[in-house]
Amino acid sequence: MSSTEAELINRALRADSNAFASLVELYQTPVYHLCYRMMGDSGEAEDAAQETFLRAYQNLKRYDRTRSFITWLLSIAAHYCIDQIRRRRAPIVPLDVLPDEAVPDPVAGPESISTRRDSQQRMRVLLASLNSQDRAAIILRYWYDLSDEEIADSLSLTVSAVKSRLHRARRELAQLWQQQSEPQLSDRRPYEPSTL
Amino acid sequence: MNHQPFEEWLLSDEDLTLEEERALQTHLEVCQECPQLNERWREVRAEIRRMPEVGPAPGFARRWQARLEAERIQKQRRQTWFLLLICGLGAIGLAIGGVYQRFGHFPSPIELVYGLMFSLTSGFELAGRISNFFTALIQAVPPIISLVLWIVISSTLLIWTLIWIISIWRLPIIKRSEQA
Repeated sequence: MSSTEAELINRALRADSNAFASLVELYQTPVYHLCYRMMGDSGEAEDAAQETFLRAYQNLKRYDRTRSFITWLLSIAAHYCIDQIRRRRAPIVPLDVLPDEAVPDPVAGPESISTRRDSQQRMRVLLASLNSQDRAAIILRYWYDLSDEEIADSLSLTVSAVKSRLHRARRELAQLWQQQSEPQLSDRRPYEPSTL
Repeated sequence: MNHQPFEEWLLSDEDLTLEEERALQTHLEVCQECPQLNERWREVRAEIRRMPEVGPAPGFARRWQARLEAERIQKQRRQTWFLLLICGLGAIGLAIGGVYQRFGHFPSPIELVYGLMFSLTSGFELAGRISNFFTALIQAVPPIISLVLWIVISSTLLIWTLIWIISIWRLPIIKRSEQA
């Protein structure tokens, strides 16, 4: 933990909301990103990220200083998102409903941009099709590089449960990716080159 | 064909031992499904890592502070309503106790109206007596107390009232500026 972060936490513990606002400024992107990947919608992600910081501020006294602060925030965000997803009971988000992400790549040509956008749309649909806890485990592993132990700690699971969830999620993603690729291959005319 | 533990190894992020690596290679040469799974998972993993990090719209921290303030006001309102509810319930309890004490039992509606009217009349009578007492006092006291003493008493009362009003007005402002 950096000294600035520790100082801000100390001030926030003395009910200094401005100090906590600086922590919000510092960690808004990773927390929002996790919420966005979990919820698949920018409005819901904003709401979830705001709620995460609110809960963190209200429960700051319970924060264990031996843990990383960002991991603690991500844990709150993941729990909140899982809870929201369970409540809304929307298992699969259709492809056309998901909003486009702006991917600034000035060197890429229009075809390349289109292909990238297409792949990302597919990826988001795949993520949305996963069980909420499996999705959280995948996001925490591949975007935040958390270890099995850290994921277990964040999601209140055992390490073996995390391993098994990650395995199941990877298998499911690979199978769905293949299923999504097959129609594209069969749609191609014989003289067209492969895009894979 | 049995794909375990090869499938698990393929989908694992952990490093394999030399022996496991050799066994996996042998399996991949004869199995048709595992190489496909391996390839697909590699594609998916690369795709996940390529997905950009998405940040919130500008002004997120400011919006959070506004939400915190709204939450604080909401909490204060809830506490006020809770306090009012407790006071209301207490008043109802006291009223029931008072009625029981007055009648020795729970009265019929007519008895209750009669008791209420009696209490109101007694109350008005008491107020009238108090009013008469003060009127008589105001008429009798001025000649006894000197004009200077009257000015001292009224000025002291005025100063204390002003201090009280200013403290009520200034206290929240000082608290807010300390928090900011």
